Amino acid sequence: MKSSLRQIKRVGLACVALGSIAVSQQAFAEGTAAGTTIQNTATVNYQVGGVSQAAINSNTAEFLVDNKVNLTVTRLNAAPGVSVSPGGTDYYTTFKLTNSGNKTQGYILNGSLAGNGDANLTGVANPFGAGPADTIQMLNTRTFVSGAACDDTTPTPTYDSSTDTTVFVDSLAADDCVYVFVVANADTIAAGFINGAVAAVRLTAQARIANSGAATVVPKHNDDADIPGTEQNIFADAGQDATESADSVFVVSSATLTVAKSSAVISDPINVAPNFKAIPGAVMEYTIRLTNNGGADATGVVITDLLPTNGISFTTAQYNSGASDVSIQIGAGAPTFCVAEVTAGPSADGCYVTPGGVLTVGAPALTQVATGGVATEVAVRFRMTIAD
Amino acid sequence: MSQGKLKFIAAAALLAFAVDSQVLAADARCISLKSMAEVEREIVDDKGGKSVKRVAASKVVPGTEVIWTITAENTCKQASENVTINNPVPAHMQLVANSVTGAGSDVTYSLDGKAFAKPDQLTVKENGADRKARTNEYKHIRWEFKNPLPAGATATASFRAVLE
Repeated sequence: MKSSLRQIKRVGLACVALGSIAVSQQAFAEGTAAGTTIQNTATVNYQVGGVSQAAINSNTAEFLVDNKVNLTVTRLNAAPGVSVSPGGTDYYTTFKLTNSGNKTQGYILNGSLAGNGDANLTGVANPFGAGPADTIQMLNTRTFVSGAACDDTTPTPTYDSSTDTTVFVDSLAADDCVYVFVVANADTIAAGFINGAVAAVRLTAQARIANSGAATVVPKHNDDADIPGTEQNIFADAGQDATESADSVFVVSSATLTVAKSSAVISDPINVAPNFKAIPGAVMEYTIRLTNNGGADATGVVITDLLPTNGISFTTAQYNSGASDVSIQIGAGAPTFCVAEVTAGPSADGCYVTPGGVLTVGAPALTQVATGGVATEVAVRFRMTIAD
Repeated sequence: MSQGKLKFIAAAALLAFAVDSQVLAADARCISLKSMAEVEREIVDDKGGKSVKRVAASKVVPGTEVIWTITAENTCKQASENVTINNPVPAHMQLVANSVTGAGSDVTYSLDGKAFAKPDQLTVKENGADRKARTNEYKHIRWEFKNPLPAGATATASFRAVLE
């Protein structure tokens, strides 16, 4: 296709007579196809005794274009990597595999025709330069070829587990590319699986004979004897091993909760503010602060607090003009309230005190602690009175 | 022998004569022109010394530089004058800058195979403006040997080109 275009361009050139000529810069991208014969014939004009002789053509010198085996693997995800939540599944990072040689090739991915991933990269530096090295491993790492067309005009594809099931590249024309996903699940309980921890993954592709099911290795002829006229395989990638790779990272984004409990005397029978003392009859306000400095919201949060019993008792009707027992405030926002009736639970508003004396505050009164530090911290308040 | 067969032989003899006379005419041509494609290989000897050797073009892939050599040998007893070698840059190849040699010759280039000129006179129109042509846009090379080529002598012209 390319060569016939070039042919047309030549004809175009011939039509323009002398002087300057319009040409466009030739694309050099994929190179002349392997198996092409390049020929040269020279012509000589001369005179003998002042008489012009018939022009003479040389023999046709020629050579065969050999198979330049070359490939590139590039990571498409931007820094800092793909965010994963503990326990989440089918996270993926996307690579682009390009046949930068001059002949159609197949490719095996991550050294496996089964599509197994290569994720055990402990200590591998963060490919983005900045950021931590690999300290954790993803689970069930897999490699799949995207069914989406690979070009510069369409956006990077999304992984679809129902359709993106091919695990090797059977045939990729020169200068063409495919998108490849490395897919993995995030562990929930593994040590070190904390916010900001990094799991590196590597996509490795090796050229194989096209249409062999990526099973047939390409024989390397770089150091073999020259065989003019026979197409030889010349490995032109960096390591001359027909193999290239690129790294990407998954970054754990999880909640990092801190809990702090404090108390203050807010009234007593004798003194005036601010000189209240913890004397019999005084009311104590307890505050439980939940702060999330992690990368993800903490959801399903439930607070339980075994209330003290020795000379102090839970005091109801302290908030919301006496209608509620517990106050819940997010950041500097207006508080919401709930009623902590005594029940084995659960209760409709999420707040109750068990017969054993455990204050429980959960959904719907308290559902999550959003990431954001002090600005989004949750303060749960309740009051107790010191016995007379 | 039948009449028909005799006629056939006569015709064949005539044909043979015609061919012979063509061969004679060809013999009268005074220059033997040869074209050759080579690549350079680095040779490492037993002592680790490196040298560059030319071998017949093989293991050529996009980006490889090929050396094309054209030799013109005068096979007559008289000198040949105004010896001019024309060579198109082979398809799929780009001429390498400053790679053209030809002792005793004036070298000119052409973008279209018709108008030949020195490099500084070759221009290309790009975005409506003229600019000097790049070496890799030259499509033809011409060597004009200034002195007659004596009987038995050989003139050599060469250029390097990179496979696209």
